[in-house]
Amino acid sequence: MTNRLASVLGGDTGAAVLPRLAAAAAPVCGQPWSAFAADAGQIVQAAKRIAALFATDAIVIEIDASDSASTVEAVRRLAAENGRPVVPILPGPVTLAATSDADAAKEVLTGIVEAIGEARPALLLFDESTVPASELAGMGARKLFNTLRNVASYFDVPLGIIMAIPDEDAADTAVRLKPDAVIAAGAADAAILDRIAAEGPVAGIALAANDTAAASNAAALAATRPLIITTLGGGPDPLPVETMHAFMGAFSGARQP
Amino acid sequence: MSYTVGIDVGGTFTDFYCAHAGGGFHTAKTPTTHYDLSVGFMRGMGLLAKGLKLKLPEFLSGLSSVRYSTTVGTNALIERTGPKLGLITTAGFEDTIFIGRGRSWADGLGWQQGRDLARIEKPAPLIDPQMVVGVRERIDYAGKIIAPLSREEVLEKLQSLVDRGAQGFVVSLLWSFVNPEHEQFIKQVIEEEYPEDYLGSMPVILSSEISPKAGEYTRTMTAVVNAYIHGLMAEELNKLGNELRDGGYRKPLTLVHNTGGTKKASRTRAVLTHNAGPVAGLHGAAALGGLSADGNIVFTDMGGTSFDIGLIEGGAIKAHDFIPVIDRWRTNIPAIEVKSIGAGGGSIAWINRTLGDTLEVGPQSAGSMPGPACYDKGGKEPTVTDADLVLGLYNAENYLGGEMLLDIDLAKKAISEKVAQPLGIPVEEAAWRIRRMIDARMGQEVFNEVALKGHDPRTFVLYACGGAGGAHAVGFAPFIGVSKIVVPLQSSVFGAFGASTMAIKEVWERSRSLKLFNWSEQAYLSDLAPFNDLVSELVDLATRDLKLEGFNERDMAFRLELDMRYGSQYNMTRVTAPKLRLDNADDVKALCDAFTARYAEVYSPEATFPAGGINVESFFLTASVAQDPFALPAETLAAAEPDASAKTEIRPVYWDPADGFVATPIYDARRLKPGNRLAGPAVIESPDTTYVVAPGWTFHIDAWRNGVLERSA
Repeated sequence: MTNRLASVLGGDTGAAVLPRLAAAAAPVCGQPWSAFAADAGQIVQAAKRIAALFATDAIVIEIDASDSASTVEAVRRLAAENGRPVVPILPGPVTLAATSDADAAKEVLTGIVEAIGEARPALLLFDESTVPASELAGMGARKLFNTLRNVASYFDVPLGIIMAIPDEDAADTAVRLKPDAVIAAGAADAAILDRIAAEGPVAGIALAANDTAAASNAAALAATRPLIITTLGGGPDPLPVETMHAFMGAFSGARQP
Repeated sequence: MSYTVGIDVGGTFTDFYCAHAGGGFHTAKTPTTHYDLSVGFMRGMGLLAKGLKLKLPEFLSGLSSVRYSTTVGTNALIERTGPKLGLITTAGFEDTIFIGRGRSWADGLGWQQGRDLARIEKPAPLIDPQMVVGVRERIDYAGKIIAPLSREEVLEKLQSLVDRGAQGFVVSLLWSFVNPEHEQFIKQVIEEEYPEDYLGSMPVILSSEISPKAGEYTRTMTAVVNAYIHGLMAEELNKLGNELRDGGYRKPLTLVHNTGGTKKASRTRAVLTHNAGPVAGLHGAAALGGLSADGNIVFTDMGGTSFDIGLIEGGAIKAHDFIPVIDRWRTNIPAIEVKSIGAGGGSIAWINRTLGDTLEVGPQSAGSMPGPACYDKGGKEPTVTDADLVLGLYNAENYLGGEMLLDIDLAKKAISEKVAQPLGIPVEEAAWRIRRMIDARMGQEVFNEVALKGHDPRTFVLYACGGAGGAHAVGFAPFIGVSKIVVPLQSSVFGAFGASTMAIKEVWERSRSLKLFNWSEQAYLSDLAPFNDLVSELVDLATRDLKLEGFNERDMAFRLELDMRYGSQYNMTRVTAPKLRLDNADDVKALCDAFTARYAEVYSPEATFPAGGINVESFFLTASVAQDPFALPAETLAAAEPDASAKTEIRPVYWDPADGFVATPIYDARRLKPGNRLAGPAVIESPDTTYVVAPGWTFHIDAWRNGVLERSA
């Protein structure tokens, strides 16, 4: 099995498709994710099973910043197995700061990144898709991301951000945060993706898992540029197996071995 | 073009020094990645390649050698990640390692912890008492077998260790350094029972092979420590070797030894890698000192975590630590003495509530993760680096040549919350006190090291190395009493630089007690065969070893040192023998005279005591391979006045609470030339280090581009 994610991160054209897995837990494993979210062992088994069934390019583990112990442990175990690449998704610092404060958010996230850093996941994603791009433009946001990037960099873990990128200003805001990957939440056009990639980060798109039209568009874009494809949070849960198969199938031509 | 690379793993940074075959060098620094040292290692190699505008595979394939000072073994000891070992001793001596020797419960502790008798505890042993077995055997002091070994008993004891989960064996029997027969027999039995093709095959370490010297406790602990770290080191170095090979490097990896030489990793004993980085730095200082004829040098290396101190007397490294402590364990490897204390740029400032709210700095360090608060990696504790930044001595935008941006607000916040507010003083004064404390600690330690060895520090030149050396030298030099400081051009990566100056070398040692001079008979040793036979044995071993390394006999050089003493003195004096072998009575007398001269030098002529007789107790043969002497071209000196362009800005710097922030000229070191001079106060910035020139000091660049600080007249 080739490591498509590493290839895309290294600049190969085509798509690395890494959808969130939690919503598929009920149809695949017979239980919703929440039923075993406190058990690292069960998380590992479920995640591996779901990823294998849909042949995803990475195992995506969503981490709840307020209750992270078992998912962090699961990330460590999965990374140690040297199977599929592991990609944890965390709420972004600005998103988290909205429910507490910036210092508390920074401390919590820094602690989690340190905890999983040693396991060297393939990519670490921060989800800021529910926050307007303008809130990520200020010095406060840049300082928050600076700390997280420094910690991730110590462990040699690439850092990515999922955020809404409706225009060029938002793309520039994303690039100024200096991530290794910028994933546009929702739709994105070729010009914006290329603008991002020209500054260094690998570009990507986060789609609704059941949006087949958006998936087809994204697959077409991936034919000529490296793209990371993931899914947005907050979609149907449980996610029917057929829907996930259709999502993955939309990219079959774009995923070169 | 071919290159050689020296690498030194420190507590905070991993340093790289790349020398080009045609002259010139490149350096790199990366945070030490303790979770996996190879990550920082390969990252640094990548930076070196980038600096040379080469792709990494091209750079690696062009390397003629890689010399590595690693902390893998030491880390394994500290973190207790070694294997479960079984120890086989002479029956009745199973408790030797648990009883220890003298005040062994204080070994490896700082003087403050060592005095805390109410709390001090012996460290948990490296080998569980359940994993120690004794076998009935006895060999006497002369090597004669008094009680033979029983194969059946050995098998029975071996099986008990295996049943209890032994993953390796250490064998240490009484007097085995005189006659190793019984230890070798036990090894043979183990290998017959568990040959290499069996899954149960395990490593067997003999004390007579690791440390064939007198001293039951230290010999055993040397073997135990070696066995404990051996497997982990082998695994780590194999992994690193594979990464280098996959990247294009085709030569063997060479390790720096704490005995003062380098050898292939595959032919290195793990225990010889402890503290190798500082020893490499000391060799670098000796090499550089030779260029400018600085005979007496105090070498210091102030890094992020530790402050190392070593001495060079008359251009030579003479000080050895006869029984060095590795972590908490007293060993007897013939290591070069370099003292380390917990003091560096990452040392944490804290308020000691127990002692009336006094300010303390260190020995705890923020390390590389999270590092100082200003590194913005989540660290909240104020450190020496934070203090230097707040005082204006560092440029937040130009740290490590701009590779790392510092956040002064985080530094101020940490100092304010943890030091300034509790003490009720301004942040800047708190920062000044932090700096002053650490400088005082370091200066006092250096003074002790120099003075307690019988030297006048005023006759020494201070070589202030390490990433923070140039910034703090003027701070701690006054406590020593030196008036001249050299901050080498390579100071920020000095351990790595030093590794590049070291020769292929190994020390072969043996304990053998011989009376060279008998006072009551007024006679010198007449039967020279025991002396010469032992030297020949060591020479043969060394020659065979170096041949296996791929060297010609004609390129080998040997030097004999002896541990000698009057009568039954407790302490030994290390003497360089005038000749390798003793041919006649005159040679014996010459050797005794050399001992007397050295003893007088160390302790004073009045302390010599020939009435006690003169004895040799241990032999140390240093075998080395000749290499080209270290050379650096000297440049022509330019005019004293620097170019106007060398001064880049004026910045407020806090030198003293009485004056507060003072407008201070800042210079770019890259625009200064050999011969340029300037007077303090001034700060000189280079990508690798910062030179702080305090008021009352002058600075000039010498012909080898070292920064030289001297007290103003």
